[in-house]
Amino acid sequence: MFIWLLWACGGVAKESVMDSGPALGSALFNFSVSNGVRQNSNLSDPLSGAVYGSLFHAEEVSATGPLDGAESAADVEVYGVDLTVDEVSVITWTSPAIPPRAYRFLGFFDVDGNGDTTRDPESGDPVTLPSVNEFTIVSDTEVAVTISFDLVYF
Amino acid sequence: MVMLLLACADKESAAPTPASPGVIDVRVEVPAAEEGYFDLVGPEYTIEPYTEVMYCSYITNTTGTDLIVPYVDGLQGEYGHHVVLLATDVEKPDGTTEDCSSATSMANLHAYVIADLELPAGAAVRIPGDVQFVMQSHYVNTTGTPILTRDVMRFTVVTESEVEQYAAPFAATSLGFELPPMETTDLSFDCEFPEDISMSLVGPHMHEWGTYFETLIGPTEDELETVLLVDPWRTEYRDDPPIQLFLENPKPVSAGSIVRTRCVWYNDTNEPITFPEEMCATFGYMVGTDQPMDCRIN
Repeated sequence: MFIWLLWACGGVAKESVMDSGPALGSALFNFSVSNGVRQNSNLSDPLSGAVYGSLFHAEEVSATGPLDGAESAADVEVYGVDLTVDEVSVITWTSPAIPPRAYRFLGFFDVDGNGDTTRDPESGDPVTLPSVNEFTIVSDTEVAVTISFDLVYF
Repeated sequence: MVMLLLACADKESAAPTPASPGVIDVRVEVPAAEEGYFDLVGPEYTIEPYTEVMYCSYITNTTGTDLIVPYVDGLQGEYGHHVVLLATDVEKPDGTTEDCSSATSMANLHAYVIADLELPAGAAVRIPGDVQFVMQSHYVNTTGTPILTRDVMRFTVVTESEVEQYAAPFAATSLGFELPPMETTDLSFDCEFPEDISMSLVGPHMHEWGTYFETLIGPTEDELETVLLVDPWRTEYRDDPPIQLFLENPKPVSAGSIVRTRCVWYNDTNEPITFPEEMCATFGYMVGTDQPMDCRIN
């Protein structure tokens, strides 16, 4: 059982794409929030802002976040995500080409707008949970993934 | 740090025998004794194919002193759902291990510390030296083969002088519900906090038929405030629940305040579902007390 670092800044090393393994693939993200986030009284600001996060190999993410030494396969910065009305964001993000395998996304929705100064969530920012947002990259394919922020950080 | 080393329920666990042929070995390796830790080692227990079970192991506390614990690492093998330390009102012979899956078998057991959950800096749980340990392990063997289990709880231990404030777990649990087949059930129940505390963590517990979970807290029914809202409930939350942390700013709660738990399920089977196949509970940590709260509604 149980959590719970909801978000932890990962390492900065990127997936090596230089070796001759199977053909690479990519992911196309858009973003959403759960009803629990949308109705949450602890939400600090309207559901609009930047998304910051990282992709990790799925097996390197535990219930408490990335394992010690886990390296991000790609870092995510997406500006202008607006979920004040839309259930799913119009804005998308496309990953670089990465090896086919299972990944998890960990990140936060910077609705209070200070992600330029701190890349950690603050009270009132929606965050991902380590147990969700897992997807599998397939060779020569762009996999569509809707990332869900399921809890408001406190 | 104090020097508290290994206490074993299973004296043979240091030199484990191989699992029998045809049995999947998911036993946790017993860690080497280390200063600053107290390891509680459960028994070896075989779980039959396609079986869900909670088993409880009664382990006499031989330390003779209170344990001051800021963190517990619960170590389980594959198919493990949770391991938790309980205390009992009714002691049993050391080494007793029995199925405790039913609601009635939990009547005399109370949580003392919850594995893998953080406390605020400087906080710790006090586990009295005169209580018998009951280590409860929950496994879901989804395979067609028996699994051999053995869990370990590794307690970080400190001295009293290192503690700034004490903490204790709370749980509000409904035991008496029944979910009719092919229907949505919406259940709410209330418990009361008996003393002034602050909450550092609130978590939900339901199983795979859950669709919605909410915890509200307030001094009166008219002043209830949502502190945890999980909508939709996901199957993954059974094992990795979305915890609301208040580590930096524990939330004050006055004595007599209500904690209301609301669970919504959809039973998509043709049979009624009851505890423990499904569950409905709010759990968490309180700071400012060393007395656990265990509220059960039948």
